[in-house]
Amino acid sequence: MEMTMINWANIEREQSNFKNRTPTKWAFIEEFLDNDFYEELYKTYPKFDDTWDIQEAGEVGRLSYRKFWKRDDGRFFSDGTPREHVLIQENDSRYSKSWNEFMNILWSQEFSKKLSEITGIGELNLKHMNFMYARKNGFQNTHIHNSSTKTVIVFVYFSKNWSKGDPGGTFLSDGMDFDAEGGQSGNSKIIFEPHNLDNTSLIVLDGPYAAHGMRKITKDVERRGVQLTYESFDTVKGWHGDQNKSLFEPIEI
Amino acid sequence: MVKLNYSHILQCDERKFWEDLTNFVELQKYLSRQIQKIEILEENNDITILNLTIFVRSLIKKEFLVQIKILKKSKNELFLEILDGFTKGTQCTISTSVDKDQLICQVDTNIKFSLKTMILIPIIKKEYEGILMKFFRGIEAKIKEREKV
Repeated sequence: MEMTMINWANIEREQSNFKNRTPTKWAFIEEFLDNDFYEELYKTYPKFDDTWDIQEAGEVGRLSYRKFWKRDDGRFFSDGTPREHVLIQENDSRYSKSWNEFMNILWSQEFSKKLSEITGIGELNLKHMNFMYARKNGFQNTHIHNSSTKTVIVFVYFSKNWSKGDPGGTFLSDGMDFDAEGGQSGNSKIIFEPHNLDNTSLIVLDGPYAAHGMRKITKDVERRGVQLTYESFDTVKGWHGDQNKSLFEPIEI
Repeated sequence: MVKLNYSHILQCDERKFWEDLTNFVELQKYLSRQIQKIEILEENNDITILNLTIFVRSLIKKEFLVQIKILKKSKNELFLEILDGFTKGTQCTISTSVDKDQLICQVDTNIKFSLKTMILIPIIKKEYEGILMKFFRGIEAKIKEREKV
């Protein structure tokens, strides 16, 4: 696997920042990928069309679009909560050769092991992947996944010429009452918001304090990225975030 | 009996919305993951009886048929009742009204479950809003698409 496609030196440089930040652990990495490889991914990033799923329902206010890699059925847990579709770690012919190469790197043992070393979260494995797209008026209100304390979210951005101060990068906030739509916010404030979305990555440890969102985009731009969710995985117990939940089995009628 | 309510601000013309909503056989397209087929069994003045073939494999192992009676109560209100199966007696009212210049579609449902299928209640409660939102977004998109031509 071409692990040289990832600029590990840039990631390792942020390792101590990630580990020392509190309560949410995070790091922002510039020039995340080898430049030539990045350009290939940039050129073949899926075009926005009606095959993208609109994201606007649910408890979190939002307007954005997603497109997914090959994934399983999803289903439900017994308490009624939906079980998010889990990535199937296989090539997906809907996407370019470069994207398939990239995904092969991202779910490789070498990558997961390296990410475990950097974040300090053991036995990481790639659980979810989706392309994220937003344009003018797109936003995502402040929310916390809190899937587990052993879940690491990796955002990678593919948008050139992002102007400093423009909304659209994933912000991290110190509480839930920051209004991403630009209305009146409570006491929460943004602690970080990237303004370079060109070959950069934001790595965040999930958990009860990992509040994040996307301020409403006001310009006629395309915000393109991917969201990768890594989680501690045990071959016997399964995904760390699912261990106390039972899967709903379809019934006979 | 489980009561579920949903209201949706419609982004399309009211008359066109009702035209599409009462084109029953075509509604399958908007819920293609759940509904395999819609057939009209009877059509009589304001009453239509439909046969729906449903397959939701994450909840129920096999596909099943449901008969629904639909009564057009007025030009902006439909009343639905499930006539058979494990949700027999389930009733739903779909209506539109204008509130503060916004066209609102209200969907009020009383679902009856058999004892065996009560286990589905928490899932149905959580999915209700998302499914309906997707359904209405589909109709709105179709209307917009036609307007472009």
